[in-house]
Amino acid sequence: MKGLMIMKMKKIVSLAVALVSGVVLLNGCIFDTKVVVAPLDNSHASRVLFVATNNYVNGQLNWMNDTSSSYASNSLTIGADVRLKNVGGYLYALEGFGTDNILKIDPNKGDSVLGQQSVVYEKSLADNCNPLDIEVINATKAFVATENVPYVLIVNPETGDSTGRISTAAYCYNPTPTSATPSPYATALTQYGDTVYVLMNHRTTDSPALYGPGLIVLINKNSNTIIDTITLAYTNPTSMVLRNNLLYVTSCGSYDALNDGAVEVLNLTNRQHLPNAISKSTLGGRPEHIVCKGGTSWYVETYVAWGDVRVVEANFFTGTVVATLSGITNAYGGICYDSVIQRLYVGEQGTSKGGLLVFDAATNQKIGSTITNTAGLNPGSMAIVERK
Amino acid sequence: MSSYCYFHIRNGIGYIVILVFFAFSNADSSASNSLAAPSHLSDSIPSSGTLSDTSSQVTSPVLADTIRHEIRVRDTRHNQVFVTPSDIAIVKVKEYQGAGKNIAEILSSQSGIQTKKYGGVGSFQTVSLRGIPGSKVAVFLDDMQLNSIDGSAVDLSKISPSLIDNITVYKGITPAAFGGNSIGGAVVLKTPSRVDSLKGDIIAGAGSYGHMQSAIALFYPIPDLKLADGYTNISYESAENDFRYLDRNGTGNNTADDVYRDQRNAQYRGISALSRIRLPMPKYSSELAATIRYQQSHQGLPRSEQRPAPTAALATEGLDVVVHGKNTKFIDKGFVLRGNLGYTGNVLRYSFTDLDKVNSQWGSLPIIDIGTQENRALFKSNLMWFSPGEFCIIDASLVGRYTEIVPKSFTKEIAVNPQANNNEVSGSAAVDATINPLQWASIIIAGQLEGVHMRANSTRDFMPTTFFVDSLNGEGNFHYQSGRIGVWASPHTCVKAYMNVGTYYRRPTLMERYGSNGTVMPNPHLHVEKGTTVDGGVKIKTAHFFGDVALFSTLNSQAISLLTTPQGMVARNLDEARISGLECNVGTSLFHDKLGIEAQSTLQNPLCRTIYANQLLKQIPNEPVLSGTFRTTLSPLSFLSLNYVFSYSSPVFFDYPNTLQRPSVFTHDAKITALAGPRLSVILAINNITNVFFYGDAYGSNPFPGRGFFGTLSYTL
Repeated sequence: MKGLMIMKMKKIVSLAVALVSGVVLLNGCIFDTKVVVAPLDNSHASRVLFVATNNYVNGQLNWMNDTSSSYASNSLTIGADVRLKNVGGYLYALEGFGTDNILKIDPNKGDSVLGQQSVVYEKSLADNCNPLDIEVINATKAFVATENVPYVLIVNPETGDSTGRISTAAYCYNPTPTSATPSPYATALTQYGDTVYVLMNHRTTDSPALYGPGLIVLINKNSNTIIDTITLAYTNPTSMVLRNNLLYVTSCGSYDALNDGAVEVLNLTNRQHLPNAISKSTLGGRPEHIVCKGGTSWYVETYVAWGDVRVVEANFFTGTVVATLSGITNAYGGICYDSVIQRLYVGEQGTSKGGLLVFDAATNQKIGSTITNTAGLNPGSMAIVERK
Repeated sequence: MSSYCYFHIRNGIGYIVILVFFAFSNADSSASNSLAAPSHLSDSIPSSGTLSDTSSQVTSPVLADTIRHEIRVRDTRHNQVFVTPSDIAIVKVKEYQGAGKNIAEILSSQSGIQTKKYGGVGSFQTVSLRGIPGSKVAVFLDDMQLNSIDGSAVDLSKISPSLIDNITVYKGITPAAFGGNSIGGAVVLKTPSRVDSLKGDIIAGAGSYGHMQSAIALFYPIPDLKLADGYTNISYESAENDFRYLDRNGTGNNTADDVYRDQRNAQYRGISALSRIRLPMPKYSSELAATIRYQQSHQGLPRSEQRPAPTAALATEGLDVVVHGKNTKFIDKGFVLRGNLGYTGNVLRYSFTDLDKVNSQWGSLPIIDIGTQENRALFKSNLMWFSPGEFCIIDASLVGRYTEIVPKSFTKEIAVNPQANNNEVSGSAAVDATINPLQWASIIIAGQLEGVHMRANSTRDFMPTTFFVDSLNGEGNFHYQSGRIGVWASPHTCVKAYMNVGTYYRRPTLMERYGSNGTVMPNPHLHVEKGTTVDGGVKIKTAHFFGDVALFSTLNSQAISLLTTPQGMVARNLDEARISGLECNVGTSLFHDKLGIEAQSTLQNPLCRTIYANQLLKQIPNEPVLSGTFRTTLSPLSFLSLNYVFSYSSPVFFDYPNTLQRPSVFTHDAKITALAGPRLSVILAINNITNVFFYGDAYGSNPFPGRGFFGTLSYTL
């Protein structure tokens, strides 16, 4: 009797083990969902376009050779809110809101253009600082614009370690936590001579009517001291680009009106406004980002309405819009211009047709099909880096 | 007097503190220790009103009868599943007693059910059914629907298992008594039904990471009111949740700064109380009952890695008051009438201090305190009619509901919350008609109509980490309908085959349509979400074996999901997706109930079920393709029971781009139950024996505890 029971037990246990093994095996054979990493692309193009893609929750760093029509198969997982910047042949990825890291990529490192071996470092910056821009001063010193904290961070670009701070609290429109409707701190940087220009966006979380005009704080890059300020003509500045001695600032103004914003132009030799600003009404919407096409021609990312972000070509000499690029629904993913091969890259974020659009600058016509990320992430920031 | 062992064990090394927990004497020795006589649910209040539901056997204290009760109850449960002509699961919560698990964890052992967990004890946890997310699963506590009208999933971690006698999960067709229409099926939690004499349980348990559970449940006749009885349950649960986890410092590409930390500010305290008085009125062939339930919890919000929050907290408070009535005066003519009138009020309140470094838009926030209150009033009536010979059975329900959401801001320095008046009035009617042309076959035809009037006033509130979003002023009338048909046949007394086809809808909620609370943008153009479900299966039941195989396929179109955008969250309709799968359950009891074995497995294609499916248009297995549980109970001696559970889950992607994958997971749980006396049982459990580390999201966010021990003493009155 006891033997019979043992026999039964053995049968049951065997059956159970077989059942479990079977389903596990079935899973392994049929439903293997592991990600297969494609072989690294070792083609050594000299110029690489990096694209930070995201879906507002997750992010990837994609790349492609400047003549390619698709992203390379390998990518790097990064934060969702990332700004890319090329400095001295390195790519700096500033992982913003909620992540607050600085990531340095050496595209020459390793056999691949992009992979874990390309990561020089990824360092956590100050809590909740939301880094937006970086200017490298020298081999051991860089300034990082931080939107959420009342100082410009000083970091060592070789190591990513923070080494100091320059307070911007006095220049914030509504500093936190003393204000219930706070304003951003530093949002963009550029250097001209011995001076680093820090853009202070003077908007608030409250009514746009309360915005004060934007402010640029000037910091001596050697002494780390604030030496002067420039008050902008318009409100809500979001970005700035230096070309020669002229500083182009996109001042968005309010969210609904068309008469309170412009791309302002400042002559940095005398820190005076130039008259050849292009207004919002001329552009047809809020100027968010600009890139220089050459001479006085610029591409301007223009926010018209939610889901309707266009790219226009504007001429700052004539003060007119030359063309509105067709085939763009929502260029909220930014713009990037490759002056060598004269291509404009547009980050299309349309819900159903997102991806990277490529335009021939000579004709302003789209080239090829939309470049998409295999995970369905849309571009958020772009930078071109020359390999050594 | 009995002693209470308090265990505080970390990683297998710990200490035991023996302390006197309670003294109990003068128990009524005449009280029966055997299983109470089964009372059919339709004869008791609260009731589900479903014909198939025979699950109300009172599982009051038990172990004094025999340790093999668990296996026998399982056999009863299999009977109940067998007689139901659709795919259901019945869970006797008592079987899981003593392991320190919550309702969601208990449910996830069933086929077709997955759970999503966001931390340790008390952290938000819900279940998805057949790949449909928890926000679309209807959850009932007796007759009261717990789902909020903001469309969020019910937090099952806040419901004390000691309060629940059994759980019925309707994975296919949902009966009219529970609204009839639910894309994600329904989970019905049932409190224990009446008994005739004083009975009760006192349960106290403690385990790793400061986890403690205690509950007292009493049934008591009320001598002054003949035939009347009462039931009271008070339970308390707490945990420190100070388990270890890997903090990657938010730098996924840099492992050099990864450190193991102990979770802080994750403590949980929760208390719930339920009391019910039942008053039979035989003179009027009626019964009246009143139930009041109160729940309060307070928990820390540790947040994710890199930037722990030392003081952030969430407090919840809930109150349910329900009056039930039933009339059986015309039962000889086939009519049974039931009605409920209820009120539910829930308050959620988040609080942060400047120590928490809350991710505000442009700086760290001052102290903030944010609350939302929801008030609901509900009338529900249910009429059941049996034709002579039960050739036709009609089960009809009529539900009227008024709900309002009142955003409350207690912010010290951000006073931007004018009075809001977001509310909806809805009325619905659902009918199930069962026709039995043959003794061995039936047809079920069911349908539902619903009308809703929504009204939203603009409100502005503040949440950290997001932009301000104004909701929309709006008002509108909407109506919806759905229908289902099912057949079953039983060619042999041991075999039952069934097939059901149904259409379902999920209407946009107030929040999804009009926006709310500063976090969700309005989308007045949302379409109703639709689903078409086909399922069929075969059930086999013999004296010692139960088997159930089901195939299901759900076509989900215009699924409503909240998408994250730069301007905040917005509800959108997704593309069409089909979710198909195979569920298998087998169970047996052998050697005179000394050995019980159960195995459940789910094989599914979790296609396009995530919020970015419409962008990706590809398979995103954010739920396992294959999952299963093997559960065995061995009772070699009359006073000892050994329980072992093995669970498997195939790989799951953490993130929507499918770049971060959690590998397959095997977990092992074990439990020993021993009778220390005629009324006292001791239960020792080890959960996650192999100490597998889990995370709810990528980059180690929402870490779960590793191996944990739990000990319980249960005293039966």
